[in-house]
Order: sequence, then structure tokens, then C-alpha cells
Amino acid sequence: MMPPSGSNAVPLEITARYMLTSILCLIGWAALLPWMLPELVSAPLSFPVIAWVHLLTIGCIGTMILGASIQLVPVALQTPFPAMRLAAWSWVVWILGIILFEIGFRREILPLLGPGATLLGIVLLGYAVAITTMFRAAPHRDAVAWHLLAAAWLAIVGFVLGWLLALTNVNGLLGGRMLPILAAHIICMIAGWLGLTLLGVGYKLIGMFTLAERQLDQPRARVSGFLLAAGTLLIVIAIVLSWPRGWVTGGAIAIAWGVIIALIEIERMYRKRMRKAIDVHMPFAVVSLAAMLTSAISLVFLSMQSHPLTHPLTITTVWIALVGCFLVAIQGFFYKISTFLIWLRTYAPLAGKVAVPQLDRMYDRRLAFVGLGAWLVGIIAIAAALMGWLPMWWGWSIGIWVGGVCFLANVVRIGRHWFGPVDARESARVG
Amino acid sequence: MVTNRPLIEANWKISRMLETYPELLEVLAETSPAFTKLRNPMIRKVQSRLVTVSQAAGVAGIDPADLLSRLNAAVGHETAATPVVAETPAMTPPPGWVTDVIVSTELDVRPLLARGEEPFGVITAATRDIPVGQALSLRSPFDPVPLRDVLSKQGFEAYTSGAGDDWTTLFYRVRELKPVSSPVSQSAPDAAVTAEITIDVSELVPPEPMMRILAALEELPDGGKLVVHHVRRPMHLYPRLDELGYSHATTEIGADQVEIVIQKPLAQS
Repeated sequence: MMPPSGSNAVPLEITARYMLTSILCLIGWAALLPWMLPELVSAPLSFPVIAWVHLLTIGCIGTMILGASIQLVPVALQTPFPAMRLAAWSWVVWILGIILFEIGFRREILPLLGPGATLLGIVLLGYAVAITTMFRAAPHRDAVAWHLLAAAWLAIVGFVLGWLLALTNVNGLLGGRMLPILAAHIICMIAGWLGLTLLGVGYKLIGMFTLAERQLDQPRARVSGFLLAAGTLLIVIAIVLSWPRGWVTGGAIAIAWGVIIALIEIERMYRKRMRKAIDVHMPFAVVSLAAMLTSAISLVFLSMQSHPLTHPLTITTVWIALVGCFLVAIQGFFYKISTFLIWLRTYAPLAGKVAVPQLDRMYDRRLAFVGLGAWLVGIIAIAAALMGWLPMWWGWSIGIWVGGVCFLANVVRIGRHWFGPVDARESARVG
Repeated sequence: MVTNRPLIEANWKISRMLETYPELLEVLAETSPAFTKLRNPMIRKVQSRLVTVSQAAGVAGIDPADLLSRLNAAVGHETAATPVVAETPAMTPPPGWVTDVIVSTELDVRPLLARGEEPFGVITAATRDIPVGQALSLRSPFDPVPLRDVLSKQGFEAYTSGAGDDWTTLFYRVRELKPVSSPVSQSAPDAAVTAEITIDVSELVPPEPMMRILAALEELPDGGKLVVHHVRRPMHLYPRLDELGYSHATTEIGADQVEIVIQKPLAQS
């Protein structure tokens, strides 16, 4: 049975607030990069590094996911967003949580960590409940729907672990179990929340924007998602219950296998897409998926070793996953999502009456690709430096900076359309 | 033979069929000379998106049930030939208006199609200015069966002649699309429908479906109805329709296929 036509859309302003916050956090994170690189090697678990990493994970990536989800999950699940009030107040609570959390770590005002983490958890829980409600109302529970549902609840599992860690910094709750729980938290958030979200959203967006939706093999995509979710949970349970290392390795292999199946699916979608032109998101997706595969394979190796959490391979794996996979994917999909949402606000009221621009007229495609190239150089150079193959030098940040500036220049170009139609000739020249 | 591959249906677009079963391109080409031009990727890109299997049978002048049966057999489905309603009239003598009709606009879309561009927008723009009692003369490389269906709902009668890759169709406007004058309340939106346009946006990428739908709604007369075929519910379109005062209903009509019926409100008198 089809749900009623959903007319109660979440205002675009709420999504815009989330996206702007995410961009500001990205700027802050990139600005601190040269100072943090040596710390990543010498003291990766110090409070300033933890604050800096969370500026990226919660501030940039998490905020972008939440903001985009409010608009995209209704499209993916084909049912209206059920919690308008949650959408309205969630941003304020989320931002407050980030601020308390960041100040708590950066200034070492540890009592702020608990309240900050709690505020973040409230929003995440509301988000998970909203997605569950939509999942139950969805006319079809396809692979995308299962990915989003599993990702939302693994985010809650990962959050609980993180919340315990935050409290441990105040009262020593976990004692000597802190580092294993930190490892479980990292894997749950990266593979469970971010990985499943990226693949679920990726299947949908790639299908929509390249006309390849029918090419997704639903059973295989579900198996892939199941392996990712089950592998993540297995690792978390094995670590929490101190099971033998083999269980962790089994979970890591399941994750890697799930990633490989997902890559095969996406490769087929691209190969058989009906829109043959190279869409702007495609090079970003290729880099992102390559980074995802690299970090998944690396996770398998790590699970078989007895390296400490601060080992260069661990740090490099997390670096590649966060900066190589998720930040690159966010940039690529941003060119599709933000342009579409701003187009909705500015140009949908004009469509049919006057000529309105296509999405690819709203940004500079060449600049996007130049930025990706520079970003890729930065990722590889810093990964090599983290592994000790290159000397650690602040200048490796330049690739990330150049890539970030190119991205920001396009963000500004896209953002101008928010305030009204941009002159068509200028848009054409840009395109 | 037992197969789990989906059964081809009469209402499948040729593009969807070829996307699912690329090997059927050669089967089509061998079935009728009318389909050989589909080997050209540019032509295939445009035309296959416009025509259903049933309509394609009409273009080739063969029985839709036979074509459907042949295509399904080629992909391993042993199906009994089910009667399918042909979507093109059998060759009929020209109607009376053909001999003395005034052709106010002539349009040749063959170069457009050869470049791989979609001609629908150009054709609908050309039909807009055709007054009652006059006609549009359209030259195309195939019998435009789907277009005849669309324009018949907009007050046109059609007569097609030609062969091979040169067809001429006269679209003769027999009536203006105006809502009936009887007052009808918004609570009974279907009662006053005099015009209905059907568009398929299932093979367009965002935001093109919305652009196409909103453009079609602009063209629609007050009280008219727009039927949209899409692969998903257009969640971001609904609020816009509500703002504009359109009534709308969405029905699932198949796997990955929905039909959205949008009715334009009657103008306030």
C-alpha cells in the first residue's frame, strides 16, 4: 500500500544550516591540519587530537549526513519525514553538543564531555527513531532502506561506546578497557554508521543521477549491507566481551567482503548506466570507493596483528577512511545534493515559466576535478608520512588545502543561487 | 525453459527492455526493417525512450502480441500469445479533412533525432499555435505512434502516411482545450476534466522530471489533468503542487513505476 502523498517537507533552511555548519567545521579542521600532523604520529590519543578528529567526524561528516538525510531519506524511503519538530530543533541541540564536546577536549574541561555527548546522542537517537518510523511506513523496504536503518542504529551503538569513553575521561569508568572500547567505537562509527550510510545513499544517488537504478541487484546489495552490519557488530561484541582475536578478524573479513560486493554492484551500475556522460560525482565516487576498499583490507590486516591503537597502520587506515573515503564522497555528492536543493528553492518556482539552469551550471566542473586531484595528492602524501615512508612535513597539507579551496569556491558559487536566480550568461560561462 | 528474468510487458518502454535485455536489439532488428535504425546509438537513445513495446509493434505494422511473444521467447520465456490491444490504428483511408486542410506549421524532426536530441518539446511548442481547423505537418523517420496518442488528448486528430524512414503526419486541431463552464467545486476535481496530458519522466535525471512536470502544468488548461509516469514518488514536487493549489494522487502501477495524477484547479471567476 502506498503511503499518502507526502506534502510536509522539511524546510530547506534547516538542511542549509546543517550544511553550512559542516563546511565551517571542514574549514576549521583543514586549518589545523599542519599543526595536528606531527601530533598524529607522536600523540594520536591526546585531547587536542581527539578534539580535532571529532571536528571532522561529528562536526563535518556527521553534520552533513544529518542535514542531507532530512531531505534525502524521504526520497530514498518514499515516505515523508515524520518528525518535523525534531528536524526544527535538532540543529541547535547538535551544534551545542559539538561546541561543548570540542571545548571539553580542547580546553580539557572534562565535565563538559558528558553533557556534550548526551546532547549529540539525543539528536542521533531522534534521527534513528525517525528513520525507523519511515522504514516501517515505506512502501518498499529495498536494500537502500535496510542500509539506512542499519546505519542509524549502529550509530547509536557507536555513540553509546563513545559516551562511555567521554564519561571515562571524567571518572575513569572503563579503566584499562578504555583503548579496546575506543577501537570498537571507531570501527562502529566508521564502518557501521558512515560506511553503511555512504553505500545506501550512494546506491540511490548513483541510480538517480546516472539512470541506473534498475541495475542494482537488490539481493546482492542486501548481502553486502548485511556483511557490513554483521561484521561491525561482531567486532564490537568481540572487543567488548574480550573474545579471541579470531572473532575480530572474522568481523573484519565480513566488512571487507561486504565492501567488495558493494564495489561490484556500483561498478555494474556505472557500466550499465543509461546516462553515459561522466557525471561530476563519478570521479569522486571512484576515489572514495578505492579508499574504502583500501581501508577495509587494511582493517583485515590490523585485526590479525597485535598492533596497538596508536600504530602507524591504524592511524593511516583511519586517515584513509575518513579523509580519502568519506570526505571525498561528501564533496562529490555535495555537487548533486546541494545544487538540487538550492535549485528547488530558487528555480522550481520559475520552472515552466522561464529558462532555468541545469544543476551542472551552478558550479565549475573543472575546478571540482582540479580540487579532487589536489586532495588526492594530499591524502596519499600524508598517508605515506603517517606510515613513515615520507618525513612528516606540514607542507603535505597543501594538497588538502588546495583541494579544499577549490571545493569552497564551488560551494560559494552554488550558494549564490540560494539568494535568487544568478544571471544565466554568467552561469553558462561558469559551466 | 524456467527463468527468473522478468517477463517483458506490452507497456515496457523499448529503452527499459533493451536495458534489461541488450541482446534483444538484434531480435528487434531482425523482426522488422522499421527497427534496424535502432542499431544507431543516437537514434536508439532518443526513440527507445519514447515508445512502448506495443507502440513499437504499431510502428512496424505487426501484431503487438506476436512481437511480445517473440521478444519473451528470445529471453527464455515460453508464453502463450496474449491478446494485446494495438496502440496504432490499422491503415485506414485518409479522413475527409486531409484533402483541404490548411497546414499552418511544418516541422521536420529528422535532423533533430539524427543528432540524438529529443523532439517532444519542439513538437508541443509547435502545436501550441495551431488554431482550430488547421494542422501541423510533421516529418519524422518513423510512424510517431506515441505522439499521436498524446496529441489526441489535446484536441488533435492525426493522419500518417509514409514508409521506411520518411513519414509525414498531419495533426489537425479539431477543438480547443477549454474547461467546461459549469462551476465545479475543488472537492470534486475530476468532474470538469476536459484535457489530459500524459508524460513519462522515468528516464530523466533530477531536476529534469520536475522541470518537465512544471512546464507541462504551465501548458495545461484550467481544470486539466496531467498524468505523470515516474520511477519514484516525487517527494520534493508534492509541496510545490500544494503551494500551487493542484490536487494530486499517486498510485503504484508496477515495480519501480508510479503514476501521479495532477489536476490543475479551475481559474477563479
